[in-house]
Amino acid sequence: MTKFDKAIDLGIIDINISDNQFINSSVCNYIDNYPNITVDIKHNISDTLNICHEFMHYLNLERTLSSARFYFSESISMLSDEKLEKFLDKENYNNDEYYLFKRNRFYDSYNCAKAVLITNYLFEYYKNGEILTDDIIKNILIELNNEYTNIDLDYIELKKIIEIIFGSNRLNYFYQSFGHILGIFISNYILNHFDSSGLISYYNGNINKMFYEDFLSKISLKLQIKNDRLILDDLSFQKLFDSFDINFNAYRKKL
Amino acid sequence: MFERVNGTLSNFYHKYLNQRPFFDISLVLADFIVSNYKEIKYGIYYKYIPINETYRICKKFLY
Repeated sequence: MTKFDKAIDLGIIDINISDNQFINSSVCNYIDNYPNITVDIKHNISDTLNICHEFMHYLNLERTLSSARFYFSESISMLSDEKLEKFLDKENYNNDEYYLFKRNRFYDSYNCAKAVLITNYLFEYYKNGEILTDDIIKNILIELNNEYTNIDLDYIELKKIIEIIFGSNRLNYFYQSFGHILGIFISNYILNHFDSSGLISYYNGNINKMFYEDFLSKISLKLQIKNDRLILDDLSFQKLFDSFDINFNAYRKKL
Repeated sequence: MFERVNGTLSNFYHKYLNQRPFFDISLVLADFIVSNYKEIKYGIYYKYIPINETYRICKKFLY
């Protein structure tokens, strides 16, 4: 019996029927001292993605998380998403649905990227002692649209994103976008450069014993200090950009 | 809305300061996506897949 079969037998995977196509609240965490996976079921191919994705989190879920688990658990689960995408392609899964599957994964990444940029603008205002007002939202909108000509953001959408991230005290909405962005780049990079199956097995047993610096070093990404901040060096960023480009080149602006 | 958001900003900002590499690296990557790509619309899946079939695909994939 596989770990997946056991998880189903033990009732670890909770199934919730969801009619909402746009909100995914699937999660893997501890509930009443027991590990639990909750998945929104929509009766389409996205169910497969959500179950496999959360199951990968379950495999490295522990009460005390290491910095590597905190930073890169999403990368490991997304690596499984990438492999699932290839699996469906290999299995000749319905072509139109497969295309949508890949397209929606890009859609998610773009939305998360917007949320990360918005959060950063909010923090810049907060750092300067400003509290959020309607005028500040309007200023952020102007600044974002000036800085990013592709962003196509209006006032209503901007306000809605701020409300989702900061409107409740739930940290998971706050961490979600940042984790997703890091995850999608790192997973694409691992897929292109390493034996991904071997890495998944290794990290499921070891990620909670590692610091995030060890994880980066294992996959040949280097940190440097720049403007008093610890951040990846330019070559490492370029590796991540290139791998993302290979996977999502179809959605380039110029095409 | 503003009261709620301003109430959580402080808490979240401190988390941000304590885990800077995580947030700073993500910010550079997010900037790359929005600077170089255009937004696309969410595509709605039309094929109904019963939960038993979903489990079958998951099992085959995760094996």
